[in-house]
Amino acid sequence: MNLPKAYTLQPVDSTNKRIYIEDTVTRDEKTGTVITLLNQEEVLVEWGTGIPAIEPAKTLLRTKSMIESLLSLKTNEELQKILAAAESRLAAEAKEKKAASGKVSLKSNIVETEV
Amino acid sequence: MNFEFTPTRLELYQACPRKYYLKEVLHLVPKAHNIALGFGSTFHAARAAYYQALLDKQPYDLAVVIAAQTFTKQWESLNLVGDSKRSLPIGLILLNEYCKQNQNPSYPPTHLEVEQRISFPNGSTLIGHLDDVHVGKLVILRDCKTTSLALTDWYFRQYLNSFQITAYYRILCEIFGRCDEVVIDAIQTPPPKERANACQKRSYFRTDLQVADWENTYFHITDELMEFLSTPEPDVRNFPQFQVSCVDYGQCPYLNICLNGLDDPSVQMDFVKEEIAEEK
Repeated sequence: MNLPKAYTLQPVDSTNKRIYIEDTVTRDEKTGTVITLLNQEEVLVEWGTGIPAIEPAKTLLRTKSMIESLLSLKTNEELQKILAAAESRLAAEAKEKKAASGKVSLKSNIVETEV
Repeated sequence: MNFEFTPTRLELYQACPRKYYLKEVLHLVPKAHNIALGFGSTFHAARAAYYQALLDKQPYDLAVVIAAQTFTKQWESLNLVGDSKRSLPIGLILLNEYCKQNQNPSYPPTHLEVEQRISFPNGSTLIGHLDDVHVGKLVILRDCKTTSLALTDWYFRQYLNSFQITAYYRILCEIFGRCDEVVIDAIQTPPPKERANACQKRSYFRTDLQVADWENTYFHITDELMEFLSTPEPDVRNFPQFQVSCVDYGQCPYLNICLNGLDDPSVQMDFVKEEIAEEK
């Protein structure tokens, strides 16, 4: 079980990379990951590993603005405001997810009845 | 040859010697594990920054800000997207809850994020990374764990006779002559609806018999490992598969390598070869 001679592997962290969208298409030279802004809602992420995925663009953009405000904050009150906004956003996303999964199960029920 | 072991690596060897061989001898690391590991180390750093600020007599409000900024900087440096369980906002919400619950700790840490090395008569060295230790009238060890599991009694039961925790206990006994209590400081991510339940602590003690048995296990494993690792190219046959571990967490990430060898495409796709200090 010795390593083959031509044994090369990609650098660490070529998955789950966060890359900010400054232009329509962004390329990370280090990992080879390409991000294409499809529209205001979605981006196409082609990871360095060659596996493409569609990701929500707003999440990436929102993270950038959150990091900027966190690094410049001075007081706990400012932090609590950011956290309150993050809390309500997470709650809204969870509600959306729940509603979406509800629709699927309803649909599958109908199909079963028809069969 | 210098043989240094951490409790986590020895636990890995106990769980499956083949997995140990692939990870610690060949240095093959699955890419998929980066998020959980990154989130845990980020929370550890932020937690340490919070306690350090309190030790430096900073007011609570400022200590929370320092902790939040440490979390942000570390998470940013890892450059991870995160997932539904581990992300920047979730981490900060958890950290805020943690700080709220630990405004005035009864036994504040006197030592934070320290690495201790203890030499044993068989020539091995045990390395322990201790999250925080309180040394006063009592000697108390606290170990922080971030987990996606619910913090139930079932969760905490795993530390009752944990090899890693007894190793830390043994290290403190060596340094201070005693360790009065071991505390698991557990953080659940994402936090449950009842936010206060996201951070819970449990105290443990170690009996003399338990520590003696730990030493027996330690010497048994390290003697064997030192023998196998003393050759320049350790023989894979000395690292057998423990098939009962193949189904852990759904499936062992190394299973395809065990089934098809190192030519399996998953080696190129799903693993990275970790650089070790000597090779840099």
